[in-house]
Amino acid sequence: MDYEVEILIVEDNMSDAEMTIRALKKNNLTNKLLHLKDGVEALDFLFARGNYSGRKVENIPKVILLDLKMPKVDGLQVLQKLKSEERTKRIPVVILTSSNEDPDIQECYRLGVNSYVVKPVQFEQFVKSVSELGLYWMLLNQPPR
Amino acid sequence: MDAKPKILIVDDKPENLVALRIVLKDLDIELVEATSGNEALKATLHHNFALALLDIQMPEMDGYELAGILREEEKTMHLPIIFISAVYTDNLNVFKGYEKGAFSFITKPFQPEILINKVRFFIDRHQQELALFELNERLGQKVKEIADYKYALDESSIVAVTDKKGIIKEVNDNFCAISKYTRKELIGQDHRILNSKYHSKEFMKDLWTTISSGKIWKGEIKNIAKDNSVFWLDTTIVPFQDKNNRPYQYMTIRSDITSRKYAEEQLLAANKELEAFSYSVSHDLRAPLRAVNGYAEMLNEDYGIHLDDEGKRLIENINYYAKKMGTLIDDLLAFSRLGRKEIQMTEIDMNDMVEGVLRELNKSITHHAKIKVGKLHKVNADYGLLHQVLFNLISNAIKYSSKKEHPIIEISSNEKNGKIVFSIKDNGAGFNMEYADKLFGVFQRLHSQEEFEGTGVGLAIVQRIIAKHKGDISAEGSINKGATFDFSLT
Repeated sequence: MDYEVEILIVEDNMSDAEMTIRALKKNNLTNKLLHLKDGVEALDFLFARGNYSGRKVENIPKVILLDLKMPKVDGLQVLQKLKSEERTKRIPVVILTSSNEDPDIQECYRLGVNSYVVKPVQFEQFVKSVSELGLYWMLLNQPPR
Repeated sequence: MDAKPKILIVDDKPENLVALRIVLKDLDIELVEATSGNEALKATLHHNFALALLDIQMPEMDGYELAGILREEEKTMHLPIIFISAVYTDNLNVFKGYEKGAFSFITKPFQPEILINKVRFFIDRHQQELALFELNERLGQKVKEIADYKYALDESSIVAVTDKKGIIKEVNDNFCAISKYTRKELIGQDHRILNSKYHSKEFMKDLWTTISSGKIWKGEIKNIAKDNSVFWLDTTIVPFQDKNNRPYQYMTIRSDITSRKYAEEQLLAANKELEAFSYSVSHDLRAPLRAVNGYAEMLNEDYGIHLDDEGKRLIENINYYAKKMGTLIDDLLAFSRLGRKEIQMTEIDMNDMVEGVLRELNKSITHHAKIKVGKLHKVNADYGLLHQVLFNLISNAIKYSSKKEHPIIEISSNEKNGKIVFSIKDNGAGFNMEYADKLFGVFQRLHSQEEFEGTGVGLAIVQRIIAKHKGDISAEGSINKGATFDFSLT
């Protein structure tokens, strides 16, 4: 990657990804955005290995928007890996998922997630939520580095 | 058998009979007289005698002869005989051959006390024999009764008896059948051979502590049969205690609940499956729904200017139905989740709760209904579930009276037949009582979507919650005049 990725979106559902990116675009937050489709790609990217072995590993995103239910390696596994490695544990992770099941919420916080957002069913609300969260993490929140 | 003991007195001389009668007059007995051997024999046919007093010297048949005949008859074989004789003769030796039955001698003239004592002796013995006989009869009956009980027990249940260390002493056929061991294989074995390793050490320890202290233990135990198959028994263990109140043996009385346990396991598995299914539904259906809604909106946002009113209306419809589907999914999930929820009862201030519900409702819908809330009884219920009930009923009341100019909703509580009944009354669209039984069905509605929005799950949820509390709910309504919903919790 020759540009620094500020927002990493890990989402397997194409329509959700499209809507998320659209919402962020509305707020001019998409210049340095990368969308990956599953947990394997996400981990490869963040640890600069596999297809992304050429990447500078010190470049970490300002925020990761992470879906929970993904094939191969799911969100929980990605979260656990990220929060257990020195290199990546400071990166703010926002879970963005359809699930509002208590066990999922509890487990994510136990693993050290920074925020948990349930995807609104209504498009309008979805766009509003993503905009708000995008603005917050990109502009208001101080990133670790 | 409280009749007086009967005594046969035989003497050919009537005056002797009279004398005997006088001597024995104070005894509580009935005297039957005979003046000859034949008469005496006839008398024995009609009476059961306790004793016979026989004169020896009689014409035709003497006392010994008579005694001999009496001895030969089954009825009188053991009849005690007292011989009354003027002379102690040698013929006694002849009679000695007949050793059955007691006999005694008294010589004339006799002292009355001696006769009375002898008579008393034999009468008492006779009474004792009768009493013993009766006791035996009753004992026999009791024994039979107990045998019958045991038979009933053995037939109906699985029974075993162990000694105080748990070694098997006895088993019934049902025990052998279910454990697949023969009686021979079981007796002398430690009861533990049936143990599946299912139960914890604490469980078994608790069991032993209970029964060894003389208390009955009841519970369900998982066992293994000889062929390693598993069976569950509903078990009662009864300690039998000795004189010092210490158990000397244990009787286990059990019934086979394997199929029930199996059904329970199936039920649990089915519930888990249902939960997993609900979770899937919740997750997997929402994403495409969001997409439908999303793309319609995006279409509107990006190309709306190119659309005429009809085009815009079409897009609006897409959104509307997508939204509706979302609500439907949510309602269905709420309904299914209800079945699995455990109730947690607490005391609830109904006025507080109604206020809370009204506040919530006023935030999400604008209405012009006038809501009158009376003083409501406190009640015991699950907080969250009752909240849902009130929310659904009150929002229904508001919704269905929204078309009236002056919608009025009254919420009250009364005591009826010892139960507290809450009422929510509105003056809205009401419903046709003919279809009242459909009111609480899932997806059942008594109005069209055009008249009033809704998924038809709200009341089904209410009814389910009320049922969970073992309460009652009923509704009354009439078209355009309004409806009243009455409910009570246990």
